[in-house]
Amino acid sequence: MYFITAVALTLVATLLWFIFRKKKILHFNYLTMIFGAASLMWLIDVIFSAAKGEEPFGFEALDRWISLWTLLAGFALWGIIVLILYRLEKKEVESN
Amino acid sequence: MGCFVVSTVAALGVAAAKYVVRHNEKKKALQVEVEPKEYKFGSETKMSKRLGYLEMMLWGGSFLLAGEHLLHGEVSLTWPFLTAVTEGPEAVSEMLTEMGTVGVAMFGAIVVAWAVAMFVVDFIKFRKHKENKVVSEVK
Repeated sequence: MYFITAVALTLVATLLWFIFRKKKILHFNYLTMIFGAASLMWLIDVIFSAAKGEEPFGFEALDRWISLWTLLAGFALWGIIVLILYRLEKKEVESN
Repeated sequence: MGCFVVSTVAALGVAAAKYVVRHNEKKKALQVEVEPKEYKFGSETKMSKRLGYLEMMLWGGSFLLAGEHLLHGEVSLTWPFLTAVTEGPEAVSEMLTEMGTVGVAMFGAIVVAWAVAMFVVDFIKFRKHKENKVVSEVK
């Protein structure tokens, strides 16, 4: 379930990146990279699980919690990155 | 079991490489160039910036997968962090096998995706440069 969530979030992030492509301060490209990389890594996990004969997609309560973690952690990480980059860019402008 | 560790270690390596490359780029930028720079395919984006994107992908993916492993109980917040270590040599062997197969495949997939994305970006910029050159020649 969290793999599907990550793929959906990658699509949403890509859409946001496209919509706000002129507002470079938001750095939605990093959000796309975070969710995209996680999707890719879970895709590999799904392939290996399927090859072993295990059930690749779980829809249990724990999977829902992991999906929530994916959503919150991805946005939190992106928020921290945006804040750091904003401060760095502000510092650079002030020094110039 | 600990497949994300491979990408985390790789992210540390990429971060170190990025700082070395950036240092060299700054050194190079200080040198005075007599001849004007010629446009080359892929010369618009600095290598340190490219490595920064790869680093971001590796850190981002590893961070989300670390949370998943924590919720699955495969990783703990206390020493020795990987729960397989406390379960005996068989579990450790299984964990190392998973790192060598799934972990390396994950890292490989990220690198391939990054390389493809960089090539596409370079190609778009190259085409734009070519179009601009034709327009300026016509004028």
